[in-house]
Amino acid sequence: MLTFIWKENESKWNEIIKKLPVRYGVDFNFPEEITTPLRAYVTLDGKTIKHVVTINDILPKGEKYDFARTTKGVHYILLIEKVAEAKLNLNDFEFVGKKNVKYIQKIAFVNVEEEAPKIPVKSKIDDEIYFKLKEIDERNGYGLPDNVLLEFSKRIKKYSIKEEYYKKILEEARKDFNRATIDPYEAVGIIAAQSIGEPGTQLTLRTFHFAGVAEVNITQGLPRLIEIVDARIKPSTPTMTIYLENNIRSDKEKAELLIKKIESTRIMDIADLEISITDMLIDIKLDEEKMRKRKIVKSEVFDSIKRIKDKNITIKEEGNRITVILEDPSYHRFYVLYENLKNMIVSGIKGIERAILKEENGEYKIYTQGSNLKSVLELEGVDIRRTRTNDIMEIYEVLGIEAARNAIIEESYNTLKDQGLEVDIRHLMLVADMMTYNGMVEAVGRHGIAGKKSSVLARAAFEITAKHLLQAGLLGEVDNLRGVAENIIVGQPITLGTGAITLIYKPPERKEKKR
Amino acid sequence: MIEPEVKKRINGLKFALLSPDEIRKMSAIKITTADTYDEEGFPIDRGLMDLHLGVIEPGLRCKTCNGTVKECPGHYGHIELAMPVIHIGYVKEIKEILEATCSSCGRIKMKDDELQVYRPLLERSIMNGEESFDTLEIVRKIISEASARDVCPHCGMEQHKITLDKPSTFRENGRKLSPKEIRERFEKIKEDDLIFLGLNPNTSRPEWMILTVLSVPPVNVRPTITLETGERSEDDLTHKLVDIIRINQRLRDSKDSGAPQLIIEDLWELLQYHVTTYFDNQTSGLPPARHRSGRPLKTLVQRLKGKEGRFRANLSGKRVNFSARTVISPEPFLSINEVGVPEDAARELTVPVTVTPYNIEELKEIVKRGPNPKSDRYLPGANYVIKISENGKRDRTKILETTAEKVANDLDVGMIVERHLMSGDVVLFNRQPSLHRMSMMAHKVRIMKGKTFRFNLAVCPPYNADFDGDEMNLHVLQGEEARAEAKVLMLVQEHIRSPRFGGPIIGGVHDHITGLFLLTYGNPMIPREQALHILSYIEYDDLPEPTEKNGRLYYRGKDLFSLILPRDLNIEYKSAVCKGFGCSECKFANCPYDAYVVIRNGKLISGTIDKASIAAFDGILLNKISKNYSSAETAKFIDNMTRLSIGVISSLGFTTGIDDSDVPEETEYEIDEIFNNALVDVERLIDSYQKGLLTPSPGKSLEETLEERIMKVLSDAQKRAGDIVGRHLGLNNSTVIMARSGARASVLNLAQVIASMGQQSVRGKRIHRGYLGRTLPHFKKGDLGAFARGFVKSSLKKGMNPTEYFFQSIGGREGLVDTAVRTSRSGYMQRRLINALEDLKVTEDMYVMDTSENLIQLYYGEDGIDPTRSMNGSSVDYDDVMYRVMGEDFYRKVRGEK
Repeated sequence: MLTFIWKENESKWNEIIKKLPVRYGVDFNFPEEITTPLRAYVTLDGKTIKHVVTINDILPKGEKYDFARTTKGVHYILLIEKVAEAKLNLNDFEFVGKKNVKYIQKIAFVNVEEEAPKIPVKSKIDDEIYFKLKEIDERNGYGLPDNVLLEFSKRIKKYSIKEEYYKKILEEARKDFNRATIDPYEAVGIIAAQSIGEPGTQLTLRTFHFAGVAEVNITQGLPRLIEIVDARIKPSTPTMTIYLENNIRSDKEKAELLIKKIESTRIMDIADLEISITDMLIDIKLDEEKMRKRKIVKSEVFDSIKRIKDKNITIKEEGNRITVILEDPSYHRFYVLYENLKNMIVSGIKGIERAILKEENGEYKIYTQGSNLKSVLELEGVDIRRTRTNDIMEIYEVLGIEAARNAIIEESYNTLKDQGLEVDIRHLMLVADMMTYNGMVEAVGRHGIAGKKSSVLARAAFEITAKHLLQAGLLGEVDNLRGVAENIIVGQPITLGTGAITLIYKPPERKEKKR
Repeated sequence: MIEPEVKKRINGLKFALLSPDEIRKMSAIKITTADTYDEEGFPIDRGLMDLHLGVIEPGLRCKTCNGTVKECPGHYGHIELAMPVIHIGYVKEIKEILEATCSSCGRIKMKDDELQVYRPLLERSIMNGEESFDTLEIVRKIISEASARDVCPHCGMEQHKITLDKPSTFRENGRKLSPKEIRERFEKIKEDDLIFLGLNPNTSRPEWMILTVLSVPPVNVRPTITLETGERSEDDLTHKLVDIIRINQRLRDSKDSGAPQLIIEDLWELLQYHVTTYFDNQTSGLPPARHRSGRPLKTLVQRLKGKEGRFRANLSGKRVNFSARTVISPEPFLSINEVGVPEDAARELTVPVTVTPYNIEELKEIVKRGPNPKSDRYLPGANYVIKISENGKRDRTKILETTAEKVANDLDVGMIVERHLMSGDVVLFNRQPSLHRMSMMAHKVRIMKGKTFRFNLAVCPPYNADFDGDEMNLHVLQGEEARAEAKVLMLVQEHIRSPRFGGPIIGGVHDHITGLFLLTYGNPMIPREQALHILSYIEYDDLPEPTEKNGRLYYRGKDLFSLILPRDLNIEYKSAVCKGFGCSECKFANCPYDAYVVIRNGKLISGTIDKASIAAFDGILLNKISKNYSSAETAKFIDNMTRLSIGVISSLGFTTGIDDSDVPEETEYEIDEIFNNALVDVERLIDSYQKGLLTPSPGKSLEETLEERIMKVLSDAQKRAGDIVGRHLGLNNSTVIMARSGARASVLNLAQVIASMGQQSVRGKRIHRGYLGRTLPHFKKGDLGAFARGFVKSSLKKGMNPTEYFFQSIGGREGLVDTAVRTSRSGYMQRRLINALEDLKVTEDMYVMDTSENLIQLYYGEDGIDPTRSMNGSSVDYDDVMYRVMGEDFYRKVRGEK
């Protein structure tokens, strides 16, 4: 985004800051590309940037203004909304048309990266009792987390409990809370791993189960859990639950229209393909019955075939038959063309094999087999907030690492819960955080976290022993023996739990009894 | 006074390549002879067992350090190879370096300014050891870029294509490159360039990947095994080294005598083969070297690799002394903190005790008894006495029955007595698989007669133990610090709550639940004599008020149970039996079925004690006690609870038999009708399917729809049969008592006994495999009916017919296979999880970091709560807090009273 830095007189600037928002007349000329609202920068000494200014609009001269930069002549008027402190240098910027600007006389134009659009805050808490509790909590410095306050508020409402008790309740809650905090140096990782691994033997191995909707298969139990910690690129049964926006949530017809847009139909789903190698032609016989079921018209099929980029083909149409001829004597290309044609998508979103409409809790939802988060989110009528997929890597690519972390937690939690196993969510959080703290989703195992450990011995003890030892020789690696596995191998106390501290009892000096 | 030990820690381990010079320098002797021992069994000079390499036979002394077997750590030797050979572990790297460097000038085929960009980063990670995940990726990028060039940018020489004939033959444009040539090329590579090839110039040179000298490990690494017959058997490594020396010698002789090039090349390749298999005998593309018997040799890589390899079998885990293993059996009269140890085991397991002026008399007494004291009562003796001399040498002498008296008299302060295990000692007790920390807990020893380890049944859930032949291990702690830690951190009572879900994992099982159900359900009157007998099992303060009836004194069951509750306990909740009644509205404390538990000030006022109260995992009462009271108090409660319930169940009597599954004839007819109707429905479905009248459900084929519908009809019938069974049998039936109280089994199991076994399935589908078109020859081809596809109409009581029995077995077998597959899969998953997370800890600021100080979480679990101390995951016990603040008012509100 194009924006600018300008130099300002210190005393005048201080005056302006005091009277925000202001209309400020300036003697600059702006290029046309500049758009408002924007964030501009102010320097006082010409070298360091002290303030970031939010400018709501730039008006042409003639309008009223509160301050003017010079008396000589005002060209434009800036509507300054906000000023924030900043600490930037000139070399943090990419100047337009110039390199290595060392000093700003008046104004300089720069390109800055656009800020990511703000993600709307989670549903706001709208709960009077919660606010009252929060107020008491803050006043007394209890610092209880929101979920505790909300839980109390729920009970207070349910049992209509008098306000006089609020403070006492929070005070007692804080006592409970204090008693339950974790000890420093606790080996939380091992506890988490054990807590997830131990019930593993109780999980079912049966891969497929019909969860939620009878028509959509979902991998469950142990295979699904392994899939999650392995950070597979594609889950074995990707699926989405698509929620709809208000206006079509209860409108079956509109929802069905959306299904058509979502469910992908390949040519092979609605037609029979025949090939003739001698003539290098492919015959597509459209099946009207199938087409009607999927609500597809012939022109759509024709359009999709036209999308094939190969220039050596000719397409003929004859009733319900479409013939594609390749004028290139290459069997390989003919084969590729046939495969492409077969899987050509006529309508719908790539990757979504089936979409099923289902009414639940008074609204229509779409369950799908196959997942394509990006394309689905772009569809009109889809409730972006609630729509979800079980494809963690896709979430990572579309929504980012934090979303992926939450997805790992949610998916693993639900997998265990569906099997009737209770595992504290904190353990799953820890696994999810471990898998994502690097900024990318890493698998648990030799290709991910375990393979990237800094210790040679720990890596050698896990898997592919010889490779790690040989590589360590070449790199001249040093094992600093900080982790658990390494210290066990060399026979030293580990550095977690009671091994993390050194505590020496110094007996009081015994005074010799005089007789 | 105990001298403070100087504790040293290893700061780090450094890895490097061995240079030929280094190998020679650390070598004690050059090995030239392929033989090991001469006729007298004496090591041959310059042979593979040369005395310079260390000693393994007692009586001999090392020629290098003059030490005995115990003192000499062993010394390396070396073999000078006649021709250089390739180190098989580095073939990939050698190829990469050959490709990336110029064949003539030895520079990397990239311009200097292209390379220098990467220097700072690589220097930081390779030379200074700073952590970096992409070091190897950068190196790979440089190598692939350099390899792509056909002309050297430095000297302008044309480059040829390098190919690798697996396992270790390199070719340039088809011409064979000998290791010697490769070595010469590598020697030309400038030290400055090494970093870009992924080599640390401080520790390695590329030419060292081509071996000219072979290091020979000390004899201690490859000891000779002498069999009972006096026959000697050499280690696999020695065998391999013999091969190497032999071929090496022949190669040298041929070279010196000017043999034809062809012969030399053959021998050279043979030497390469032997050296390769010496390092790794599982190299792909090479036949493994074999022992005379045909067994493949275990060479260096095989020694380290895998589950049985050095790392996992000997370094990460070790075999230990002072441990015992035997069968386990139950003993309800032990505390949960105790373990019963058989006397025989206790006499072998010892605890070291340092003699001080305060305990010398006591220890003398113990030593005097010797290793095998004879008395009616178990008294500890001692097996060894350790004397520590001035120079720190430990002299461990065995106490014999004959010498016991003398040793005892010679006992002095500072000596260590290894006395027998005694009641009260702290030991670790473990059952494999050790899936969580509760699989290894500390117990206090109780020496007992018999041959098994015994413990309280409430401790079965954390160990996942039963008594169908399970064995467990016991370890005796040997140090004061270890004992203290075990007592404070590992004692059973400290693990009553599981960190997995924040509830009790130690608690009542099976009969404990039935027992307390019998005691509290309907608040039975128990005659005074019987009650006092039961009470003799537990510890309590004051007897409750008895009630009088017909001139006899009775105690109420609920009053008896109240005796073991903490005095200030207040709680209310629903019992497990509540579920079965299906009330539309809860009457709380006025429950007509006695299924709402109310406890006030440690008195059970109403409700039945069952699974929902005291069971492991599900016990609400137990959860509350273990959360709000100390671990010792909770342990006391569990001890009393288990004894009380065992006392009750054995005094009142409880049995279940086939007559528990008797139902009136009408009921049987009723059940029969349900199934007959279901079978008719199934026939109708099949009929409409065959006539093509069935409409498929969305997204399913016709066959799938049919299967789905049939399964539903049959399982509905099964469910209804179960309901009827449940309706006809009440809480006067022992089996129902067990099912409803949550002790064992369910009404569904009862239905299987009385009504029908139901549909058997494989992979969630009806059984369909077997012969062509049918499951068994008893059926017609293409029969889709219920019986032909694994529906078992008979009940266990009625007995199954042969086909039904067969189908039932198929279903049972699937379960077994499933379990077997699952254990291995989940075991591996857990190993990987542990490996990924083992280094994590909470810091003092509640961060979660690993031991390399990478920040994983800013606040543990987002609220800093220990799941163990949470109430099923929540940081605050909401109801309890509100009760504490508002008192009875709160429960009044809960019940909706004013």
